[in-house]
Amino acid sequence: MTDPVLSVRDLTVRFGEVAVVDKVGLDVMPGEIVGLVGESGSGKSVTARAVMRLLPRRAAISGSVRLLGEDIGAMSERRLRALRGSVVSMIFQDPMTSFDPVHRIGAQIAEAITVHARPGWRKATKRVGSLLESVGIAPARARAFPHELSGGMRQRAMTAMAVANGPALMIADEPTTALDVTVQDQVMQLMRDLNQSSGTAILLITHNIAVVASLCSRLVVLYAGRVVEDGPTADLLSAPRHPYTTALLRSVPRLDQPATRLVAISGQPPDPANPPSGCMFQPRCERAIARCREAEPPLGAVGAGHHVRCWRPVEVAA
Amino acid sequence: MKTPFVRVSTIRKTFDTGTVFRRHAMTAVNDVSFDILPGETLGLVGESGSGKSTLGRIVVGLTPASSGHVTIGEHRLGALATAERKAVWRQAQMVFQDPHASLDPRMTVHDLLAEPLRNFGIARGAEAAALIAETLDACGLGMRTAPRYPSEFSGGQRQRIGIARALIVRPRFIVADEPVSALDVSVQAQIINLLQDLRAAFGLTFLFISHDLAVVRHIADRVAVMFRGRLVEIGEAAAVYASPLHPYTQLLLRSVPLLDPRAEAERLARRVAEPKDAAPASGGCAFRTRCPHAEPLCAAEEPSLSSRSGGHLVACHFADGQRRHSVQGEAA
Amino acid sequence: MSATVAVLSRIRLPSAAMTFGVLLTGVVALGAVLAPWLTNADPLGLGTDILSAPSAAHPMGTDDLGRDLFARVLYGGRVSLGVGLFSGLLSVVFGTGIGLIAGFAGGMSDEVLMRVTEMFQVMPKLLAAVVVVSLVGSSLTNEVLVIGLLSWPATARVIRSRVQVLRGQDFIAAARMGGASPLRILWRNLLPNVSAFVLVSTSLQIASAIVSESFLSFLGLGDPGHPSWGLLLQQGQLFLEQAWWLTTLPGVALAMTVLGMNLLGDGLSGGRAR
Repeated sequence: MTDPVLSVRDLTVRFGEVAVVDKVGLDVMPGEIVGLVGESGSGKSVTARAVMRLLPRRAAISGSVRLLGEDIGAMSERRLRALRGSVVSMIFQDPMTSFDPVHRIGAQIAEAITVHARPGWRKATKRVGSLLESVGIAPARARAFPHELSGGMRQRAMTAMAVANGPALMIADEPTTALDVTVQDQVMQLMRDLNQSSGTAILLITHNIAVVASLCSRLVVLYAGRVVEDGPTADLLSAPRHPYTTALLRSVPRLDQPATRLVAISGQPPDPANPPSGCMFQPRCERAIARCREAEPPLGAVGAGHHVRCWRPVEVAA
Repeated sequence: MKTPFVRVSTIRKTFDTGTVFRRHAMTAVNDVSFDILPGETLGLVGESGSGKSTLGRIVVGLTPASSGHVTIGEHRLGALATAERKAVWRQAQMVFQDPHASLDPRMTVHDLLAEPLRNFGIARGAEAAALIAETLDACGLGMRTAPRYPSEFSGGQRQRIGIARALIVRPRFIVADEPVSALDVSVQAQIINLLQDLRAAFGLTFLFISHDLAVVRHIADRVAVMFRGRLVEIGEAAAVYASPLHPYTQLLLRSVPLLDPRAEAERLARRVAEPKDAAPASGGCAFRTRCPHAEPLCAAEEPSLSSRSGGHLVACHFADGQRRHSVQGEAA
Repeated sequence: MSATVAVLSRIRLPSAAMTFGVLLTGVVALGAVLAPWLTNADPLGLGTDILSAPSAAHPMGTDDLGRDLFARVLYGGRVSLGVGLFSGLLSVVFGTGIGLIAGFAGGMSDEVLMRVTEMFQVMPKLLAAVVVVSLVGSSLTNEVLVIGLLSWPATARVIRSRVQVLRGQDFIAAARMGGASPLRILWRNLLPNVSAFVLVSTSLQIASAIVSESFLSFLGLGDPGHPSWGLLLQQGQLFLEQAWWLTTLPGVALAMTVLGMNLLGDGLSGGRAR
């Protein structure tokens, strides 16, 4: 059996007394695209940053994060720096602030290469040209400054920078949220192509279920800092088992279904400083029973590679 | 044939940009006209740069147009003096996108709602309190929210407060500018449902602006599509979504990822690669550099909005007959 | 990062600097206020004990006319702090008003007000103060007016830029649509939302005003009937070699005050979330 590129076990992140991520576990296999879905307060961004060890010092992290078998938490700063940008890279939501505004994008991408591989400036520049082309930007645009590019192009340039060193894993934190829908489609296609051509595994973090449904083979659903459901995308979409997943799918307006009244989830995501008793979703859950208020359910298997954290998982239609 | 409640006529809005030495005018809204019938919800969709938000602010009277005029009920918005604009705002209100920036952080919910009542001379004291209670209730907020500050609420609740604020003067027309875009997915449905309920309860007319095509489909009776400041298509929502006539509308609908795996697979199979780095067109049709069906005529002449069938208008030289590459892939 | 996390990671205790600032300012202010209880000596009273070093009888020593320095420093603090406080407040009130109007109105009004502001800024403040006070005479009132009316540009600029930022926010548009008149918006929506900046500005302006007042007194333009620290410094400089306490101790008091108020101002601005 192949080893996962990324293996997270029992990851817990606390800020002071408050646990924003609680015992989260997930795996990303080589060449896979895994979706981490959640809303605000779900802890998805914190999880992503924990993987790259990008959290502020105040954050107390426990659990293990293994990148290609190596424990991130135990690594020296030096080793970590060597890995960031070469073995694992990240693209962020806001392409505006992810580039340094005073340097040309070509130079910034080249820097990402030379920091790790030292191939010499000339070789790096050539590579930059071909990288830009692979993401659909004319190589001549390498001389442009970030503000001269549109949001979509900046996002594509950032993707070029992220794959410059052929990483095993790319973490994309809300990469299309700030983009127009036509540009989103292009960036999604870009990620699909990159994954197929270079085999880079992708951990895609977003609140947009349709985007993950289209790109990812497996989904991990986070709610209030916990994994509430995970499994193959097809299974989760056709037969979701967790009440939150079910409710979420029912409440999203869809183009491919008749425009009937949406079934909203009442209430709002819990405040991590003031969590509900027992299950985190219980105050908003239609299926809640007494047991749900007493104790938090563990993550249990309900099918091949499909897990749910619920005392009363939704039944599968016969 | 009902009389339109809102008439937007040949609105044009240009902004002066550039430095002292190189001033040039940027046209955000270019010759847009449409009507909204009483009780109707018109959805306005477009991407960034379409001018839809600017148009929304012009329609509600926040931003003056460079030319053209808007009529809301009896009132006509042109280059109005403030007093007359104030009269319009008794009838027309706006719900803003950002629930964080649209509420004064230093005012309690009660004060936020009491202000318009005071300024318009509608009610004070006990009467005002009653109206406030009623409005909060209609928006799914209890009286306990009244003495608290916006920062104590979540995004969804703040948006409800913003809606309550628009509703407190009992307007007849509301312009909602991306009202759910900044909200969590699980909360969006709540607000969409709320808006639909309020529309029914208070007999409201809506202009619903959004970049999210799926959301608009749920709430709009008719849909208007904007591209680079121009109205390119307008018609009954069902018709526009089922059989989009303008290539841009078709592109928009084609770009939305679908949850149903089979539908999504079909959509991906039908993907047409867009010309890379398409420079914005100058002269003729604004969309021609991205349009797969562009012809010489498109560069020579700008298409005007013309009727195709039963209230469905398109601004395209070739929307007739030539293609029916709609979302469902029907044959011509 | 989620909004919750962002807020959580911004919480911090009052900084050491701020605490220190409060302490320093507090000590000086208390000293000035409680002067009659802290010393029996008359600040203007002549004595026979000339140029004596700090001792039990005279905690800060005496000057060339036998006057008790401790009393002079404490009572002088009243003058320095008083003038500083009032002229600081005057400049803040004036500057805030101008800043609010210029920032909100924009257009021609803004241009005019900014040109006026620049005129005042360009003037060498202390030189102008010297000239004016020499002409109209040196009374406490004149000092307050002169310093106050020359120092407002800094506040005006800060408030103006803050208002320009706020002006574009939706809640101001919503207030307009709620029928609020421009004056109402200034009072009800803008002023409360610039209060943080006003507070910081006040602290810094008072500190600056205290220095300005000391400068004027040092040049002999202060009110002779109400000696302030500046005057003490001026009188003490003649005896720099023989009686170090005559310059050093008032100087320390002045430094403590200015440092304290600056730290206070910094602390107020640093701790605030935008």
